[in-house]
Amino acid sequence: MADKSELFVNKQSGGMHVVTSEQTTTGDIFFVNHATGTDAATHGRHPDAPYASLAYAGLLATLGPKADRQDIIYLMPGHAETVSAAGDMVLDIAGVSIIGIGHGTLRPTITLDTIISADIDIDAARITIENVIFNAAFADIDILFDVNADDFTLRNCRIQGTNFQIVIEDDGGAASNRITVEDCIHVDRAAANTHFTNFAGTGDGHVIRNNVFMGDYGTMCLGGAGAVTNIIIAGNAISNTAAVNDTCISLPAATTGIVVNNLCGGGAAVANGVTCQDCTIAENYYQLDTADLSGLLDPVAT
Amino acid sequence: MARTDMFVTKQPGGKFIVKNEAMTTGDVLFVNSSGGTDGPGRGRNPDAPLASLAYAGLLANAMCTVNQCDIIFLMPGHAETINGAAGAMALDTAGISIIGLGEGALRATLTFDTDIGAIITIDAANIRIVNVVFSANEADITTAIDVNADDFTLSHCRFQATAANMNFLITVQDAAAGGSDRITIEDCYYLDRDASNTDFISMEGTGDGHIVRRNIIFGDFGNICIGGAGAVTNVLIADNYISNASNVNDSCIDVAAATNGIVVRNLCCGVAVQANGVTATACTIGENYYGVIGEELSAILDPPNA
Repeated sequence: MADKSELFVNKQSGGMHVVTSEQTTTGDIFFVNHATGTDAATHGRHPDAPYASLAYAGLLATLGPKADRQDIIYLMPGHAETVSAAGDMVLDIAGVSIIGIGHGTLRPTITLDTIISADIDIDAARITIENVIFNAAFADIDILFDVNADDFTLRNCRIQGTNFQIVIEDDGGAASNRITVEDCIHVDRAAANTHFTNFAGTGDGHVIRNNVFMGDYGTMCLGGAGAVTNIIIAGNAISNTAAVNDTCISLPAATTGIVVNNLCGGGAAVANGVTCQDCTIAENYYQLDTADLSGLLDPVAT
Repeated sequence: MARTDMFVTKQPGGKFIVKNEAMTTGDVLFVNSSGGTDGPGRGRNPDAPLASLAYAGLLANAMCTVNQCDIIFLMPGHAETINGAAGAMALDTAGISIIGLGEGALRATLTFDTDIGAIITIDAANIRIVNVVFSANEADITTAIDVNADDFTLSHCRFQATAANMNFLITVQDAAAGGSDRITIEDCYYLDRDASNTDFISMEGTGDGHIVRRNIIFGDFGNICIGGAGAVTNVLIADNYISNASNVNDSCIDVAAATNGIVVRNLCCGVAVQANGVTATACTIGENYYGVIGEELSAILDPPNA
């Protein structure tokens, strides 16, 4: 008989038979819910018996997800988890996708609190996070995501609360290539914030597209001091309260790539929104937020 | 081994189903006016659906559970009528999604008639309506959807009228003050050129984080298509196409002077004179265009950039 299905019947540990959609992933699937879950080896395989925490699911490489099988961890609607110390959540299983189920404020929420060094470490390659809310519940948290591995993707997430000074920081060198941030929204106008992305390293192939940023980024919303290569910054909308020049998109000389179709506004004077001299640049606009005027091409075309 | 998001579960009544838990880990219900029956034991199977959303949505028999992201599927061709203020439909189960199945005119249709007070009220947080047709069958219905809670989402829906002079004066109304943060209206289509209409979305409160994007709106909005007098914060109004038959100035996009956020890439046209399409004084503004219907000229940047 020819194989005419992506659906296969498999037997789970413990005896349950399940139907697998191999189109979603050929890896394993796990469920996490703080309200109904238990962090134990016998849990996590079924939405009626989920793990209680992503920290547990993400750390237990021997019991839960395994590297590079494209395992998926579903965070169930309303799941809430707290990160209260540096290294409190270390995502170190390569190839894992963490996907929130739900909409609005029922999307899973991970709250960082207690100390400014609370963070989420991305310590393995090819980790993807989708449809999750990240919430700051402590003043001046240094960094939300400390990315120390290649191919980290953040998709369709919301970042909020007061406040993350930096939302995403790359590795200082070239150990975090191809960071992708797409379809996310960041809302936090705390004046102590400095960056959304801080590209201090020399990574290659970062993609920042179709995001909405409403913040107060005193250093720069997108960019950094590192000479990254082959970057794409496209289709973003940035409302930046800061009155500091060049704080919407700013990339140093020697950065290469494409910066296109970004709309920026802020407190700085016109012509100070987009700086990326060695990139392909087109259709980026900037205007003073209080001017009641449309954005001007930035940089200018002639 | 755990290789699935699809689980076999046993329904009340004995049937086994395979359910994709990646879509929701909550419950799934079915509604169909044709062949459905409102009653206990119904709604969990497309072969034995409920007859009305009012029954499911109102929790007449507690079929939905708050905050577990239950989904109510309105089956293709489902038709339901909302008759006047007394028969208003109150959606008051937090976290539910109401999703129409089908395409074109086979999408589920909710028709408002009999009284100008016919209305849907959103009375709990995190309610989402997707792929449903809303149809006006009464003249000058005051408001189609009255939002009284946070995080309401309207996606891929169509608004229309059954005939000339049948219309919604206001399509979506926010709550006073901050009682309805983060309203999202995206990928919707509106068609009703009745001259009595005033607003597509009326933002009179001080909500935060509303998103109005990628909608196509053909109307005659004598007040404001998108906006209002409320000083909302962190609003995003992006990529909408607005054709407004009204000749009233500033009736395409007009948000209050203290409103902040982003207004970008909206293409508007109307009968008002040039430079009266987009007003968003304290927002980040760019690449919005307004043109005058009948001039046979392309739209120009509004507001100007210098």
